[in-house]
Order: sequence, then C-alpha cells, then structure tokens
Amino acid sequence: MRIATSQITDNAVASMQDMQTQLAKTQQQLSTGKRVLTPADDPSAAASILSLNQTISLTQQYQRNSNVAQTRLNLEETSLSGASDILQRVRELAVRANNGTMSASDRGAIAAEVTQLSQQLQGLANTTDASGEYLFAGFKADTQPFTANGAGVIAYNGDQGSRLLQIGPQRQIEVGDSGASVFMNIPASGGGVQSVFDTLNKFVSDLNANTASQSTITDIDSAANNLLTVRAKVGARLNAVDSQNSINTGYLTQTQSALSNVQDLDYASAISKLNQQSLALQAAQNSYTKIQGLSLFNYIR
Amino acid sequence: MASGGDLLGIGVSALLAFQRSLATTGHNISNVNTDGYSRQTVDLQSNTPQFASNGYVGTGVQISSVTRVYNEFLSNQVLANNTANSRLTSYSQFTNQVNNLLADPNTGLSSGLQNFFGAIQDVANDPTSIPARQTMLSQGQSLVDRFHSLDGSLGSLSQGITTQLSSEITSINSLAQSIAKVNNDIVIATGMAGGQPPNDLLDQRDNLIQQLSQHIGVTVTNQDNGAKNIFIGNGQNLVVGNQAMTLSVTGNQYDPTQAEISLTTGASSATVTNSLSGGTVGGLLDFRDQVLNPTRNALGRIAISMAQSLNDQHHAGVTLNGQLGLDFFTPPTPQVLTSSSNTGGASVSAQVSDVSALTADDYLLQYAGGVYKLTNLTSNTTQTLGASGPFTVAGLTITTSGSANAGDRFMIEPTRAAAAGLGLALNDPRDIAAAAPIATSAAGNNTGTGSISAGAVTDISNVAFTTTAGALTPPISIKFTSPTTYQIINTSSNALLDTGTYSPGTGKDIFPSDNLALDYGYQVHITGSPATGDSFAVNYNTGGSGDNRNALALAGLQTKGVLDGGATSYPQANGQLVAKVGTQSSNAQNNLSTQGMLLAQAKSQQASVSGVNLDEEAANMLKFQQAYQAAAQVISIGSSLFNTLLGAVKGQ
Repeated sequence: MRIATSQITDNAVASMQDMQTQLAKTQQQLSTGKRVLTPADDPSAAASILSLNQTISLTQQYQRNSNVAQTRLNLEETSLSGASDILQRVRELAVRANNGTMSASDRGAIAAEVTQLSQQLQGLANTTDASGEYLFAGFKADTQPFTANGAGVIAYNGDQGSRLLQIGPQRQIEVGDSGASVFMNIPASGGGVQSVFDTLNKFVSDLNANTASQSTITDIDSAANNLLTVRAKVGARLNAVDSQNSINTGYLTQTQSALSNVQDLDYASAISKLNQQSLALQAAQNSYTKIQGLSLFNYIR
Repeated sequence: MASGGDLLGIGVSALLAFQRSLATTGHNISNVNTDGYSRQTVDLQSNTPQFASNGYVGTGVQISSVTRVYNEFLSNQVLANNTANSRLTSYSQFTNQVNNLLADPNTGLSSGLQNFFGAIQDVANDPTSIPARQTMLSQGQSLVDRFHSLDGSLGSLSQGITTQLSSEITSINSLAQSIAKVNNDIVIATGMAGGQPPNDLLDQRDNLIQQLSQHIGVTVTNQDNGAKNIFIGNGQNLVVGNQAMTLSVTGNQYDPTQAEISLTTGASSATVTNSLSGGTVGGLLDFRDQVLNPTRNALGRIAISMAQSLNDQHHAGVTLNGQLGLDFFTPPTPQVLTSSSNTGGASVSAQVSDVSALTADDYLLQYAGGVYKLTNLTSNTTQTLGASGPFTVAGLTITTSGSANAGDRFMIEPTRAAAAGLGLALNDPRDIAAAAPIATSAAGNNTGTGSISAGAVTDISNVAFTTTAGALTPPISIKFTSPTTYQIINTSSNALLDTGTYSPGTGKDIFPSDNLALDYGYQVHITGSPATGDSFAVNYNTGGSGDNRNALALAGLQTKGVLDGGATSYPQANGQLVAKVGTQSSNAQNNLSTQGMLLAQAKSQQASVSGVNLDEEAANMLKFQQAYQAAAQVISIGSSLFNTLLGAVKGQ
C-alpha cells in the first residue's frame, strides 16, 4: 500500500503516546499498590470496594462499641461484687446478732458496723462511670439514683430502662441494669417487695432495740441471691460481647482480605507488564529514528 | 517527415510540460506537512497530430489539467470519524472528571457518610457525653460540606460547559463563514479557468469542513456549480452556497443557566439544541444530559432521602433537655422552574412526600385542555393529573395556585438542587435527640413474672405526644384484673380507657387496644405471666439522659433501605452512582480508543491516496528531470539540424 511520508511520523507519535499512557497507568498502579485507580477502571469492583470499605468501617465501629460495652459491664460487675461482699459481711453479723448471748452493747457495736456497711452499699449503688453517668439509674443517667430522705429511708429516683449497645450488625446487648431490679424490688420474707436498704435499716433498728432479727437473714439471703442473678446475667453478657468480638475480628479479617482481592495490585504481573511496556516503547522509539533517516533524497547528488 | 521547426516546437512543448511537472513535484514536496493537502499530478496529453501526406505526425505534448488525487468517499469517512472522535473526546474527558470526583476519598460521599454514622454510634455509646454529641454535629456539618463541595464541583462543570459551548459556537460561526467565502471563491475560480479545478481552494475548503466536523456533526452536499452546502442537526442549513447562518448560545426557557443553542436564519431564530449531535458540541450536550445532570440528580436524591429519613427519626426522639427532637438537617425542597414563555398566572411548588418513591428523574408539568399533565423526561411517560393540585405523584406533592393558560409549562427537578440546598439545622449538642420519648416500668410490687418492653414509637405526631411538650397525654397504666384480663387506665385522672384480654403464653402488643382501638402513637409489648393486681406504666421519658434508643435507631439508618421503596440505603445509592458514572466513563474511554483507531485508519486510507510520499516525489523528480534533459536535447538536435541546413544553403 502507498503511504504518505507524514503518516510515518503521525503513526509513530500516536503509538508512542499510546504506549506512554499505558506505561504511566501501570506506573501509577505500582506506586499506589492499587489495581483499581478510578471507578472507570472496573466499575463493578469500584462498587464492591465502596461497600467493603463500609463493612470494614462498620465492623471496626462494632469493635469500638464492644469495648465500651465491656468497660461498662466490667464496672457493673466490680460494683456488684463489692455489694455481694457487703451483704456477705452483713449476713455474718446477722447470724452473730441472733445469738441469744449477745448483750445490748454488743448489738450496738454491730448496729454501728451495719450502718457503715449500709452507707458503703449506698455508695456502690450510686457508682458513676468515667464520664460521671450513674450506672444504676436506668435511663436517668444524670440523676443520683439512691438518696435518703430525712428519716433515712432510701428512695430510688431512676427508672427501669437499660441501655443497649450495638455490637454486631444484628446484635444489641444490654450494658446495665436498673437500680430497681438490682437493689429495690426484692421479695420480702413478710410478702411483697422490699429494698436491700430497708432490710439493712430494719436490721439496725432491731439491733438498736436489742431484739433478734430472724427475718433479716432470709431477706439478706434473698437480696444476695438477687445480686447473684444479676451478676450471672452480667457475666453472660460479657461472654456474649467476647464471642461477638471474636466474630467481628474474624469478619474484619475476611472483609479486608476480600477488599485486598478486589482492589490490590498483583505486583508480579504488574512489574512484568511494566517491563513489557517499556520495552515496546523503546523499540518504537528506536525504530522510528531508524525509519526517519531513510529517504531517496539522501542518494540524489 | 518532420521539419526542424516541428522538432523545436515538440521540444519546447516537452520542456514546458516537464517544467510544469517538476514545479508540481516541488509543490507536492513543499506541502508534505500541510494539513488537508492532496497531492497533485500533471495530466499530460499528446498534442493533436498533424496530417502529412503519409499519415499523422505527432506534435509533442500538452498539459490537459493539473488535478489533485482525491477520493470523496474516503474524505467523507474521515469526516464522519472525526465528528465521532471529537464527540467522544470531550464527552470522555468531562465524564472522567466526574468519575474522579465521585471516587476520590477526599471528595466522595462514602467516607463522609461513614464518619457521620460512626459519630452517631459514639453518641449511642455515651449519650450523656457532650463531646460525643459535638462530634456528631461536626461530622454532620462536614457531611453537608461534602455534598456542597461535590455539587459545587459539578456546578462549575456545568458552567464550564456553557463557556465552552459559547467558544465552540464562535468557532463554528467563523468556520461557516470561511466555508461560504471559499465556496464563493471556488465558483468564481472554476468559472474563470473554464472548468479547471482550483485544487488548493478545494483542499482548503475540505480542510475547513474537516475542522467544522470536529466542532459539530455535519452533512455535506455538492452543488452543480462546485459549491458545497453544509447542514447540521436534522438538516438545518448552516452554509448554503456563499451564505452562512449564525448559531448562538441562549438560556433555557426554564433555567437560564442551562445553555441552549439557537440557529438564526434570516429574521427567524429557532432552538436546535436537541437535534444537534456529534463533534465537541454533541459531546458536551451528551455529557450534560447523560452524565452531569443525572449525577447531580442522584446526589440530590441521596441528600433529600438522608435529610428526610434522619429528620423523621430525629423527630421521634427526645433531646437532653427533654424536648422532642427538631430537624437535624435543613431539608432541601424540590426545584420547580417556570417557563419564560408562560402566559398564565399559575405558580407551582413541590414537596417531597415519600422518599421511598422519589426518583432522580426530571418532570415536565404542562397545562393543556384544562388539566395538568406530568411527563417523566427520563422514561417519557405522561400521566394526566387533574385540573388543580395538590397532586401526589412520584414521591412528590405538587401544589398549584393561580390560573394557568393552555400551553403553560413548568419544569420540576425534584433533586437537582438538593445537594446544594442541604444544611445542618442543629447547632446545640444538647438538641440531639438520642433518647426515646417513652419510658415503661413494672410496678415494684408486681408478683407475677410479666414484663413490659421498652416500647417503640410508631407515630410521633400522635396527640399523645403533641398535646403537652415534655409529657405524655395521657400517661398510661396497664393493670391486670386477672391473669388474662387487664385495664388500660389514664394514670393522671384514673379514668378507665379500655379493657383487654391477655394470654400468658404468647404475650401481647397492647395497642391498638382491644375494644376501642385506642392508639397513642407508640407500641408496648407485655410478655410472661402477670398476676392479678400487677400493673405496668408508660410515661414520658423525663430525665432519661442515659437513654440511647433513638441514637441506635438513627445509627441504624446507615444500613436501612430508605430509597426505591425501601430497597436501597444511601451508601448503596452512592455506590450505584459511583458504579454508574464509572461505567459511563469506562465505556467512553473504550469507545474513544476504538473510535481513535477508526479515525486513524480512515485518515491513513485517505493519506495513502492523497498524501505526499517524498520517495515517490524524489523518483518523479528524477523522472521529470531526465525527461526535461532529453527534451532539451531534442531542441539542441532540432537546432543543429537547422544549422546543418543553413550551412548547406550558405555553402552553395
């Protein structure tokens, strides 16, 4: 076929430009480590990358939420275990006080210790977390849940709400118990319900009146049982958070490797592609300069 | 037998012919790099022979014509490929910009959405924390900023298109005038030369037409007198003989910022935008219609749906101050544009009524025959709405007022301006409604195992919530009169509102109530086995600063389907948008590289016919030089023959 002289240059320049574009793209892929540089490189992969990135960020958020849940549940468990210890001590004192040989002054001494313990328990029931939220106030986190009136009767000012945290895509977990369920609504030996504080108050007034207090031991046992039930629930929740956390970690690893499969560059093939492309460009440049020198005019003297 | 004079004449004719051939070769060589140049050849013809007694005797050579080597079919192929190539070049260049804009982690929506919803989760983790709430507001603001900057970049692309269209139109007008002038020159030159082609003028005109075709798609027809007529669009005249029409850029009848193109023929002017195709102009218009505006619409749809669904959920919550939540985002309103040619006094407005039915399409509302008709401009389907609004259609409520005249038109762009119209409405972190408005409780002295759920709001606009701010009207108690029957009692007045029956095995949703179907805009569920005398209460969530139920619901919107009838969440809608523009951009790039090859092929075919090859010209030069030298020898022989004759006569 006939060819125009200008075509030789035009074609050579066009093909060299084309090769340089490809070379630049491969180089950019190598320097970013990414196969998909813009959605146009692979539109369906780009959509997957967006959704995988969202999954990763959500899962990381669930892990953060799990940590918050763990912190709160651990704090609750610490407070509850302190409360259990106090009730244990009160029960010992109650057993001792019921001994017929006890004198009024002995019982007075016990009364003094029980009063101390009661205040300590009240302090635990008013535990706050690091940001000053009352742990046992239900939703009323800014309201001190347990306060004494003039007669020393402890009233509950919180509500019965309990906070849920999102620790997995479909998993919410309670991270607290209302003070009502922990300290207030405990079945009483005389029927109905009674708060653990009322139980202790009654014990103190019995001691001060120097009378044996048979019902106290039953009521303290029932309060301690209630605490144990709540602690068992807290323990179960901590386990649940742990297992959800390991599910999240596994899911995160999987998702990240899926993302890497979609998005990341296969270095070996990219480098060999780069070599091929630069070789082709060199060949094109070389051959152009050789062809360019060929002309019949060189031989006309 | 030829005489010496004949020989001289023959030699001179050959000298002239080869001199002309050499000159044409020189002309070819000197134009080896001239765009649009077709190589020329000198057509030689032997002279009319003279009759001598013994036959016809040759009298030398003459030039019949100087013609260019040109193939109209190949030229038209280059023209068509040129038009398609320029269209794809501008289309792909702009589409690629949108593609990069949406995908860039610093400008794209995706990470903005992730950060914002992450901040909501952090509020859910610690609802009393003012810093966490402040972060949620800041992330909300930066999400709004992302919408604004994305839409702003798309808006400046739109302006860029208007500017570029203007300069394109200027070039087209000037090329059209040049073509008309060259047409005129060609007609005159052809006439003067008795039909001989003015080769270089023809090349010049072809080159001008090639240039024009890069700006806009054209059709070319030949006139008998040698002029060429140029048509654009669906056959609108651009150049007829030596007359050129004028194109101009005008504003759209609805939206003056959207450029339209008008063609002025004599005194009349008509908008031809929709019929234009090909060339840079076609590429720009296609980009605007197929990529830019749909992208702005899709982005706006995400903005509207996010604002609306987040606001709806936020309204159903309670702030740190115990009040029901207000708007979190300033919701953008759909844009209704009135045609500048309307004669009636009607005005039209639109509100989003149902996000899940909202589309990213534009609609044309026309008043004709006493009724409004709505046309979806994407699907081109029309429906009759009625004589006057409000109309509820396509997720919109369209309100009309005033009286329209027949033929009046309104353009409804529900989502076009929405990304720009989005704003953050809250500025006090305490106003974030993280809590739910109701709190349920079981009486302390309940003896059964019944328990009540935390409750869920179903309709925050219920009078139970709206009668008194910060209170439930009425507060409710549910009192069990037996293990299977209960009363619903107004706690503040002790009035019996309704009764119901309960089955301990299955539990029960209390509302709507059994007999009177009472519904207070929320639902509570009782499970277990309540004993006679047990009671449960539902109150306003006063002081519930540690409640995060509404924050959890807000955070859940990240993955909840709110668009397309509940099938698509906004991150998914964003993913769809990115993939769609990515596909458009990748198709454009692929088409462009294919088209580039077709153009290169067409050009090389044309060049292989019309282009100058220097080696060929060198060979021709040697050929003509030798012929010229030989012709000079002929003259020399003729001259010496004549001298011999003169010498013989002198010698006698």
